[in-house]
Amino acid sequence: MDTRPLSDMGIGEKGVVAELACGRLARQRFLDMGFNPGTEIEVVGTGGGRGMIVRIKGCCTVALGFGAASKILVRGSV
Amino acid sequence: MAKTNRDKKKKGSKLIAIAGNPNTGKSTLFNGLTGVEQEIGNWPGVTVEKKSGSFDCKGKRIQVVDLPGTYSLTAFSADELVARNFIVEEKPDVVVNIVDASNLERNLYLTTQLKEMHANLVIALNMMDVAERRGFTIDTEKLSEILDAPVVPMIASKGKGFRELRKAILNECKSHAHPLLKVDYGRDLEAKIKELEDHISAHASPLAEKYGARWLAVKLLENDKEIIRAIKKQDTDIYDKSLKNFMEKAEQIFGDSLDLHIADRRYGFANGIVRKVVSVRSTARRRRSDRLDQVLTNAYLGIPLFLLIMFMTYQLVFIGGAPIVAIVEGLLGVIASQAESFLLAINAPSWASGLILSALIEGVGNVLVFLPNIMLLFAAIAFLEDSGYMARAAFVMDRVMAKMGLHGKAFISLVIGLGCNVPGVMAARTIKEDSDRMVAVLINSLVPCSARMEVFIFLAGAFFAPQVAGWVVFSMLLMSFVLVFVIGKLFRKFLFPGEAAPLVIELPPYKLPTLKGLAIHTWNRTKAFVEKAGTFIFIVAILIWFLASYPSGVEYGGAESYIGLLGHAFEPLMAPLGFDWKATVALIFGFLAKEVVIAAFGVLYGVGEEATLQAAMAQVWTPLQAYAFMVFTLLYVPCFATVAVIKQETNSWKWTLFAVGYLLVLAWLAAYAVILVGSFLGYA
Repeated sequence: MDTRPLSDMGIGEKGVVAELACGRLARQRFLDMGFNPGTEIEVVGTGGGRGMIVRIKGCCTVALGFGAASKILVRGSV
Repeated sequence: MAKTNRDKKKKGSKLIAIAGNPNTGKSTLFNGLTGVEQEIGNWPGVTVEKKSGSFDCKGKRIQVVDLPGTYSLTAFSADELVARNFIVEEKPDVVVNIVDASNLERNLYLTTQLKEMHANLVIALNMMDVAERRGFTIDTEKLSEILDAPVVPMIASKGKGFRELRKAILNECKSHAHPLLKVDYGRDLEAKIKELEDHISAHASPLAEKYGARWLAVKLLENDKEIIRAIKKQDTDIYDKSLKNFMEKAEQIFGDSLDLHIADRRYGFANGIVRKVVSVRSTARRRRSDRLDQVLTNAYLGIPLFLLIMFMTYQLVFIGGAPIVAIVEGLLGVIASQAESFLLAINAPSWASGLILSALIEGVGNVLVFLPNIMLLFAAIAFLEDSGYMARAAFVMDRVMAKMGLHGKAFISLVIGLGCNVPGVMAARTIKEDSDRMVAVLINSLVPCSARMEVFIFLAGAFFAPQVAGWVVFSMLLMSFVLVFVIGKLFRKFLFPGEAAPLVIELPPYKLPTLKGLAIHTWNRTKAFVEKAGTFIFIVAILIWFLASYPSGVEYGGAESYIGLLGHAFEPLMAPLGFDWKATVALIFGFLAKEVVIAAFGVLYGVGEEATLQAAMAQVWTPLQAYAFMVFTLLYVPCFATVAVIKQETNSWKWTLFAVGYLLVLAWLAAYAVILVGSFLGYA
């Protein structure tokens, strides 16, 4: 199934982290926060176009700026 | 670091460290263990806050160091490096790893790394109540068995579990080393790790002994800059001749994503534990926090609500603090008059009474009156952070501020700076990214504090018609805002280049901070501020007093005093701006505290009353000169209390001198521009 950037997803949509399309430094940050490929992700808010508020690993809420969210590629829905 | 080593060697005392993710109740745990007696300082060489304290348990003294809250232990951030180095180098007897029971998998990612470092762990499994509410049941015995470490269920915010935790810590201090936990990185990688391990053991045995060969091997595969540097330092040949070659080969096999592969395995390990120990009853979600987020990060309401909260913070810190400031001022007045009559009574020599009255009481007092504001600010910031709002503020302001090259949280320090730059600079501490914080610290002085506003209002009143005066003062604010964004952008681009880190920030569930937590935080921060900045403030106050009173016999601040001579010496430099020596002297006094500028004019013109002074000055200066003077006052060196905190927050004399230097140059250029443009437009 195709992947799409997290920033393209809408509220309530779910998916699985497929790829981190960014440099090493940003990738490390994503990994530390729990965005390792295979992680379930659910969009719970968009902050009115400021970025994305997502829930990962079932319980942890993380806010991402728009730039950050566009670097996380997500696959389908679970 | 030498100090902690010495502490550790105190007879029979033990050293423990607290490690854990941010937002897990780490401070609460630390406060609960150590009580009010805490030391706050910086870790050597970096601007990462270090908190330490101690407690007694069964006749044993236990030193506690609170490591910075981190999600991982890589070499990418100062926080993580500090935490990691402490564990490796100081080898604490026990590392208490606080783990959020309601967010187990992500927390165990750090736990896994701590175990891989062979730390002696005690797991403080905090927020059991939240986990319970969300429908998780955790088999703590099984968790303890898998991690080979005692697990203590806790609700730190309600004081539950501390007795058991102390007991577990003490037990663990006595116990013997546990076998090293090995995450299985898969057959191919494990083979590489093994080879690398043998290589390191054979050629860099002191390092292997200190860090553990397997850990070094994994870190090398993760391309960890600090470890590569440490190995090069030990023996360049080992790295260049064989390790580098070795790692290149590994990269050929695994691609450039070895770090990804390793992180994935660690998460796999953490996930495996979660599956074994957690049973989910229902999937209750965080409705309340989510609903609040829908309002507080709302497209239309987000920024107005943020501004409202900022306005309320400003009101609390400066308007709410006003009565306390008045009390402090009153007290200082009483102390001054008491001291004066006492000094007269004992016939003290004039230098002694001058030193005590002018330097000590008045000079230091000028700064001391801001202490209530500073305390309130600490309390307000602690409230914003503990309640969970600060993370939302960074998110809400990120896009607007990023356009100006600033961090979302920099806005808070700028607003606070409008009241006083001292707490303004300190508020920048909440920004974790080094370069973002530095920029926020360096530009804060561009925001006119209330003391400078006083000078503007005074001069505008003296030189401009009442209907224009307000606009004149407003133009200062406008100029300040423009400069904040221009200079901020320039600094970000040229002094701290590099792409801004992507905003990825955890939004912890909202909660009401406890009064006790706020009180301990405020008290310790204020204490640390008084101890650190106090010395510097005292020395400068004495220096200014000395310059104004000597050589002996001169009029205080007069033409023959050293400060007067300095004023004359700088006159040629200031002449293009239209400033005479008196104006220059007033500016030097302004270093003490900006509102002192007016008092200094009073002394220099021999007029005490404000209205008369305004009239006297209007005789000497033209409005254009006054405007140039206002611009200069807006921009030149901040008061020395601010300089003291810039030093404290940047942890560098170089950057402190830079801050002072660039402001002086900017002030001169801007004032000169005012004179040039003014003359061109036909004003004198």
